[in-house]
Amino acid sequence: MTKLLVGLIILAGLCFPFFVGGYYLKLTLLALLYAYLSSSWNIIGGYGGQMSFAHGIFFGIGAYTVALFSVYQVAPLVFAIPVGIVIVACVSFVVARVCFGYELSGIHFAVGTILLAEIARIMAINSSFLGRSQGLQIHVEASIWNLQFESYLPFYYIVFAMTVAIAAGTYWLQRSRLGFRLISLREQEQSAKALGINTTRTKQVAFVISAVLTAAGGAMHALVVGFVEPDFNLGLLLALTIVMGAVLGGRGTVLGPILGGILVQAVQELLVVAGGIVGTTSVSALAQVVYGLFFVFIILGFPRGIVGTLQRQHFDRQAVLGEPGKITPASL
Amino acid sequence: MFLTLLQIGIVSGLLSGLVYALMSTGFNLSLGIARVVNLQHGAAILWSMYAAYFAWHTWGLNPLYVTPVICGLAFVIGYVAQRLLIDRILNVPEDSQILFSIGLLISLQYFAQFIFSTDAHSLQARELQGAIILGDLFLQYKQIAAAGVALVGLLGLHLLLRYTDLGRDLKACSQNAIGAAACGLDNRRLYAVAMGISWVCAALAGIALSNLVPIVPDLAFQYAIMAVVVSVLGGLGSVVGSLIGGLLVGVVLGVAQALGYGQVAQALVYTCVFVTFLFKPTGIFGAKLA
Repeated sequence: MTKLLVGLIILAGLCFPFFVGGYYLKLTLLALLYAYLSSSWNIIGGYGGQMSFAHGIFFGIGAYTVALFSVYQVAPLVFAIPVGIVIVACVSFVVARVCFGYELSGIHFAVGTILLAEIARIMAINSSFLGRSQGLQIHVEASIWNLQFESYLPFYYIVFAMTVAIAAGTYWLQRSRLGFRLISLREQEQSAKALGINTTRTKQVAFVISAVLTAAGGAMHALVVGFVEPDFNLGLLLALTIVMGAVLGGRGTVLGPILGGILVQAVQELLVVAGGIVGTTSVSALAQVVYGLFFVFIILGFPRGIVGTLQRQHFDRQAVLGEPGKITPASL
Repeated sequence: MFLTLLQIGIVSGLLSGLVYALMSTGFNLSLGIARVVNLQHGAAILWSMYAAYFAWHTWGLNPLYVTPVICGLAFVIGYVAQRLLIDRILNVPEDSQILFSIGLLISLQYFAQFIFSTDAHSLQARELQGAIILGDLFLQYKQIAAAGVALVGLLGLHLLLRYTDLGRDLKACSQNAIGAAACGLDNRRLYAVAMGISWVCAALAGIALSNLVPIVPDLAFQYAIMAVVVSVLGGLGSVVGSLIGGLLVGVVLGVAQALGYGQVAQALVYTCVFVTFLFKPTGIFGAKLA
């Protein structure tokens, strides 16, 4: 039953571009990209319970590497992705080493990573190498080596594949040794330590994996959109969008961040369209008011995110209805 | 020359540091008592800046004269917001709480943008033009007025918490909510009062700042981060810590700006705070968090 459903969703995703094209295809592919980004944040933020806002930096590094390859014409843009990933792996290793090594946790970790993100943004704005506050444009000829195409169709399939892959990866993670360690340290770090888990090490590994995946997403975003700028690519708002997608959908679940990421983008885009119909710029500000209230009410209704709350209710109901001796999965 | 600049930086940093201290005390208070991360604090500051601007623009009133009205309004709004809305998320996981408050921050900020547009509004009260010159030092009246407002706010808060029954109740509630309830205190009401006071702090900080900086909607986010940074630096739940943290951040920013590193100053402050975190995660004056 579940397998059939998953198959149907994947099939629908594969057929989607036959019905929709142009602008809406681009929107869908960006929504999928945000779903992917929220899912990669979910590894450390959802399963590990570490509220990282530093993912904006990793996204930014991935995107800026692509842009720099294009501006200085180092090599075809395909090679920018592995280079970006290696850089992010090093940077995130250092960040994780410092933050977790000094045992930052909870709100301190959240604020610490906000600070790091802001430092990175200010540095980019003051660096002429990175194009200061204007950012950089990506202008290269369309070819497969440059990952620049005439239409959005190839991008759609690449991003779709990435999203499916990360969903499968997360599903596997949930059942892997790393996943169990992460969940146990999220629930009770002291007890996890007492069980012999090297919690610092586990968090570091998860953080680096999550950062590297985010960097790949950042590179894809730059390739699709065609420019990078510090206020967007390194801004807190981007990190927030990623985190919001994951938390709204349900952190620490496989489908939650994907649903949440798509939902956040859909709502934002709907509001832009609605604002465009009415006209004037002040209406777009009003659209943002609605956007903010949307989060407020979703969290009031689904404190653990949409999928998280539903799943919990489902498990709780099963536990109540279950016959004596029947084993039901516990809610996390 | 260098020494003069340093002097100017330190003095103006101390003055603006008082405002930062007031800002973060409000944030700290609601975190300590109502146990809720309220990033909408930045929006409260922004809205009171606009309220001060509105009073000045429409009726030509000096913001200092309308302070009681704005503070009264702020208290009522904070109280009602806590009762109607924020009370409902007290038992929600911490990161959902953070996002909830960011949602509120975004809507309040963009509502201000809807009404006042993104244009910078600057408030120039006639009485506050001019400056005192003390040797090499050059102090604008508006800087002094801002620091004065902040100082009055901080002192008032200190007296309230120290010498009144309400202050004692609030402290009891922050130390042990269950114990306080067992002694017959109405926690929900105290949370709402704390949130009201926190909004009053934000309003005072907003009024103080409205004379100093051009008012744009983006300030809400900046001040929200500033409030968090200062209170975490000083130590969560510690009012003295907020004061020291605010002055420290103010001085570092002031000195960096006076020496001509204005843009990098912010990054510098953030780096200092980050390093403090690493070595003393509970902040300079923070007790070990339970």
